[in-house]
Amino acid sequence: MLVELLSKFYFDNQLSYPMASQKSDDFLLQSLVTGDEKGITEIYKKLYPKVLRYVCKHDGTEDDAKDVMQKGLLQLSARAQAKHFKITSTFEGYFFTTCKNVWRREIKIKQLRVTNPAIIDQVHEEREIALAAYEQEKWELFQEKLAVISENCRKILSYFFNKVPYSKIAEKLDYASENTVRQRIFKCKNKLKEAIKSDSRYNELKEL
Amino acid sequence: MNKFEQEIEAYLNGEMTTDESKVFEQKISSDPKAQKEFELYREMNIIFDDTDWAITDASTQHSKIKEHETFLKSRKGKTVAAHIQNAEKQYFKFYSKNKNRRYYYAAAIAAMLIFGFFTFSKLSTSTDHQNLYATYSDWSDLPSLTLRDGHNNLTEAEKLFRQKKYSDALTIFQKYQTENSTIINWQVIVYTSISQLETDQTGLAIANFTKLKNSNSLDANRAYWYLALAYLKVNQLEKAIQELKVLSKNPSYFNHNNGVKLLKEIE
Repeated sequence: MLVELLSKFYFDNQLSYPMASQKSDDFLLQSLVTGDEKGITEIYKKLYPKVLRYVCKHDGTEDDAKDVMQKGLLQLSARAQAKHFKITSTFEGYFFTTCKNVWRREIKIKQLRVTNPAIIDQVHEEREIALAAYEQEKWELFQEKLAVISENCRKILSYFFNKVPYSKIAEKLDYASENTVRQRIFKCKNKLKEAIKSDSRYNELKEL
Repeated sequence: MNKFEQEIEAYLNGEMTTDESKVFEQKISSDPKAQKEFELYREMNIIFDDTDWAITDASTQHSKIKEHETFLKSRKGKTVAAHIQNAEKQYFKFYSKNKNRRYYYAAAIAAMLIFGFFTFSKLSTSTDHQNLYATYSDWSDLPSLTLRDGHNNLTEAEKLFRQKKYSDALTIFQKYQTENSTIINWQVIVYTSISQLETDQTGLAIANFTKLKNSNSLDANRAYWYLALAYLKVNQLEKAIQELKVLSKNPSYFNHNNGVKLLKEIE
């Protein structure tokens, strides 16, 4: 799934699309910067049904979907206030990914709360959205870096990070032994790590 | 292969013994560079896992987080938030076509015409639901506000609440919330919403409980029970059942046992 997602990410970034939709995308993003109701209603028309379907498919309710949609919109509005902010893919694809991540975040928080209620303090909505925006930015940087390493590395790492056992990976990608898989993963991970580390944006996200 | 990186790997994969882990933890805590390296590996493991999400510590004071927060709290941020709310309303009012609803109404009308007596018997079941609401809506087990907070007005409001003078209590609760708008006190919100429920402002109560449900509050799971009661009160049985089903699946949630019982009675 990661591979699919990435190739889509890559594809969306590479391909230019007709001027008309570029214009409408700019309008949608701009409406979030200024808070233009007409534009935001358009975003609802375009994306809410998709978000609803996704959330319901992943153990959520209709109320959850509404909440995810609102949080996604606010998050993007906050990020888009920065002058240099730009979406390199389509608005639709970009916003949908944001919402998927918002829902993943919600699920993770619910899980954390069950295992250790003390960990999650009561956080204000504004702070929560600010944190989510920051996490989303980091996520995007990591995904971007995954797209620059070799196809082969990307494939083996996506299995590895999604907890596919070494023996299964060897089978799927036709490696001689688990040990070769281990070594290959180690090398690829190192390459990915270096790519992330050498990007100034990573350090920006790290320093206080 | 670098030995340190091998160690990180072994640590993250849980392949170290307790003693080895301790030594490793000590090593990185005394070496900022090693710590940074370890942190990046850990982040990669979470971020690239499609089922996981890297949560940032809520107290992190990164400039970007602060910047977003400042915007969201600013007048402009609040305006955007209000417009988003309005857009949602517009969307659900005009564009979201609930195709099933039309059939639902048609079927309901047909049913009423054909089985007049059946609708009559439905009326009597709705009073049954009111009885169920009355039986189960016991608020005496709410944690006291005075224990948690020495606030005088809250003590007074709680007293009124316990005396079932809900609309008087509500006035004080709402005043407290506007005066203390920087910190959300979910306890007070629970009291407020129940007061609304008892004074037939069910719509507001449901909205607040839903907010509670989606919050990070430790009391969030209480919302399922309260929502079920609120829906029961206004005869939205399907919705009440929906909440109760979640509640009965989660034994650790507030009032789980009553939830199971009530669900059986309704169904």
